[in-house]
Amino acid sequence: MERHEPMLSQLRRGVLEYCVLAVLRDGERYGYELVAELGAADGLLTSEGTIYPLLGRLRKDGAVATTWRESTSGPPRRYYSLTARGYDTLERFGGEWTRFRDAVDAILGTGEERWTPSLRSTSSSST
Amino acid sequence: MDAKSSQHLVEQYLKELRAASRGLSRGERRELAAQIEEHIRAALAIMPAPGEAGVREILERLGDPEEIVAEQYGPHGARAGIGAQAVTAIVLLLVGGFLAGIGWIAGVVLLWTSQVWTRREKLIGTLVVPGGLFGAFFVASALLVTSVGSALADRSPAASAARTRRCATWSRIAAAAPRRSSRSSTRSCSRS
Repeated sequence: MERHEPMLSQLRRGVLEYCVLAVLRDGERYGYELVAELGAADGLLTSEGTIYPLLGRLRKDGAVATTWRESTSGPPRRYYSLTARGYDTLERFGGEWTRFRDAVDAILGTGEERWTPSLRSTSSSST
Repeated sequence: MDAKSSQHLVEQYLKELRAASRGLSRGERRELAAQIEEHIRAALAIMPAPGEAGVREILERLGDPEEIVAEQYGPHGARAGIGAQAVTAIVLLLVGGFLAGIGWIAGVVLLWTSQVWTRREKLIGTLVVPGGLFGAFFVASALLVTSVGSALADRSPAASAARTRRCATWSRIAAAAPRRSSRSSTRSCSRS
């Protein structure tokens, strides 16, 4: 399916950091692993590098912590893990997201029932 | 040969990244460069045959350095956020010296609290720009104050006595000098 990049980039910007936190909930990851996992989710990550300034900010905000671990190949890697604060943020986002998604679905008619032109005809018939 | 050009590609990319992230703080900039380097290393380690094409693919997937910075720090990086503060800082730094000197100080404060410039640029802005204009203004005003001051002092009786002494000195100096100049200097003394 064809992607509408400008639309997506706005949405992605809003949710990407919570997706990062969600991946880290399952355990610590190093940068490349995180990118690979998020990249596997359709449309979530177009430029892989954009994850790194985001990780930097999450670390600064205290939602994510970094530790250095030896790697089998080459120099040590920085691993990112979820902090208690990050966990709280993720929990709260989960609740907000469900409400938000339901509200948008209800308006677009993209939830349980798909949007159809009949939506327009029902509103005009009521007047 | 291939390894060399691969390395060159990576270095070129990191160079572009450093340029794109100029608007970030020093810590953010270093962290970002280290993260990206690590990513490239990790990606290369996984590749079965990481040749030049492999490196190109990794860098392409990472995305344009400008875009990486812009995604988090605004459309053109924090640098593009030249707002009212930055403009005011520039104006005050350039002409603030004429506002009783305080304008320039305010300019320096705005400069250092701004996110737009790097530490090095701020240092240059503080030292170079006012060193030129503020310094020049300072010297000019000092000259003005002394000349106005001496002109006022010239009207007092004590000053006229001092002037007589000066004239006498001048005459003595002039006497030692060629005729023409001595005449002109004595004339100006006698007239006053």
